[in-house]
Amino acid sequence: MLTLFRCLLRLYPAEFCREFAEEMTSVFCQGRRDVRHQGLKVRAQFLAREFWSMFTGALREQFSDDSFRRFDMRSFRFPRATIVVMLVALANVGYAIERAKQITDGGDTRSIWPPVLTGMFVGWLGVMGILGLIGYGILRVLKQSGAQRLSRIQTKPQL
Amino acid sequence: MGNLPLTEPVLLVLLSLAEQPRHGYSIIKDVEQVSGRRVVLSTGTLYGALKRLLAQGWIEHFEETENSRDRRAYRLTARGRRNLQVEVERMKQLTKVASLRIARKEA
Repeated sequence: MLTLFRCLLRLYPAEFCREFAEEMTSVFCQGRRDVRHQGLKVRAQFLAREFWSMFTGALREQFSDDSFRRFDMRSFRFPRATIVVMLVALANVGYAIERAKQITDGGDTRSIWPPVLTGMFVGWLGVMGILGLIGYGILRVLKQSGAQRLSRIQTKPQL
Repeated sequence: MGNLPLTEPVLLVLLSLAEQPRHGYSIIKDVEQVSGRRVVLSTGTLYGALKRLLAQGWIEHFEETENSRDRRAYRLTARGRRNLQVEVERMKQLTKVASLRIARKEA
């Protein structure tokens, strides 16, 4: 469980981790010790609450105004998944060029890709679409929960 | 003030620190007790709120003799205390108006 907690901590911005990771881990361990001798239901509720809040908290921190303000292009690195996505995009461009050539030449207009690959591509697009919708849903729920209001806290009261 | 009213977790965190400086886990336990176990803060929620309150200068780290990285205490600043008072006054005013209206309706 502690390993999973530490994995979720890595979802937070690096600066946030440097500042709070040790404290958060310590607080999580204390909480876990407190519920250790309680029923399975209480322990399950504790873990579910902790992991869910870590996940949504990381999203909130990643998309907070501060994170966007701190964004520095010089230190930016593309994630490894970008390589796969770019290769798929390149393959699609190649495919589109071949298809265009076939149509221009008036030759065989059937797909040059086997149906299995076409099906996989359509499936991949579908999965990406669903993931995008889930991500959008999570951000929308966070926005409706008012969590972003914390980042707009004013420093001086209007008396 | 644009940020008032405060969300309930933030208000409870400030109330918890109004009494004395506290560590993270102590804040969670105190909030649980003050709210009659209705609000149970999780680690992610607490530290998200603490980070913002620190950035706004409403709370600060409290230096202790046995100061370790995984057990730091926080305390309310003068600015935080002032804002908490403003919020409590706002709630008092609202409660007063609500009580009057309910009493008038019952009469």
